[in-house]
Amino acid sequence: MKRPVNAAMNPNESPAPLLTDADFENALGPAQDAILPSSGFAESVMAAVDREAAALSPIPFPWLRALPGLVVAAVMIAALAAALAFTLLTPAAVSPASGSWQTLLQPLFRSAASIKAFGLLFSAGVVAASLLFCRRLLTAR
Amino acid sequence: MNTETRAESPRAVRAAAEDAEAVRRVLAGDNAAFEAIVRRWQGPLVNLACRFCRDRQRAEEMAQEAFLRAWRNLRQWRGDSAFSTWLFSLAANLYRTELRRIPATMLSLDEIAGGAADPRVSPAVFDQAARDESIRRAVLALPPKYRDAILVFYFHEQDVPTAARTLRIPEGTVKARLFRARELLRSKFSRPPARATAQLAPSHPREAQ
Repeated sequence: MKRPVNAAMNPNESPAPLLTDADFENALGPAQDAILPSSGFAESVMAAVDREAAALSPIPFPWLRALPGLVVAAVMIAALAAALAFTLLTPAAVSPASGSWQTLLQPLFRSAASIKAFGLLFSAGVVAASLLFCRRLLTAR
Repeated sequence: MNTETRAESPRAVRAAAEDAEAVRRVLAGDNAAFEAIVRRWQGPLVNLACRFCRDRQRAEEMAQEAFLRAWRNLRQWRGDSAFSTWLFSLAANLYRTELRRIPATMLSLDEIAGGAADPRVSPAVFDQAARDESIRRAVLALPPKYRDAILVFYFHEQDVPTAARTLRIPEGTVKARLFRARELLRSKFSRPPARATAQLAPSHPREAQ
């Protein structure tokens, strides 16, 4: 860090205007340029608050009503994922005679067409359930 | 507006209690109770906004948005600090965001300090009001982190802890930014021969507290 340059050491050099703490305080202190809000400012804020309060509050998500559907969807997704993984990883281990749930799902993944058909049916079911759910929600309000 | 340190005065204690009661009522569904908060803090919030943007109309718009945001997020005030501290912090954060979106000034520090550095203008005739205005404009042209520190520090009557709470940064960071902000301003308002003196001028004694 440089040492301070003392103006007295060089009398030929006139001191430049230096910002002091008083300058900062004068320019930026709370007493300076304190403005009063417009006369209607508080009313304007309260009007904005009232407008927001009067606006419809967002519809809370009905978790209780949605819970059964969510559980069914989760179970289905898990079952499909398990079946798919089982089919892809261990195709030889599945035998038609095993009688397990994998056996039931196996025909579904035997061809691309059946997979597509199942996908379409599943999507249609989800859309129908969503529409039904929305209708119930709107009529409940 | 020194909110925390003034909290020891009976008036401040009463104001804090009234704020808390108003918040309780608003949260219970009485929105009209928010008006007491608006009336109590409208002056400080508009003035703080004005320091950030130097435009009265825009300051009022920003202060109104700050009050609205406070009303929306009233549940977030947990009462572990004064309501005013929370309100100022929220407002300062909003004002900084607004200034990032639409800057208050397009002048550079060199352009602003140009008048002071002009050798044809003697310090004697450099009018005090014009000098103050130049300083304010120069502050707005500082990098945001230094600008915010110096604006909030002087707004809070040079109280570092309150400024730190408002800006949500450590007190040491506030002090460092204040030092750097003053250093930048002094270097811009001093002519080259005095630059070394300007940079090494002592900082404010209250910062050492």
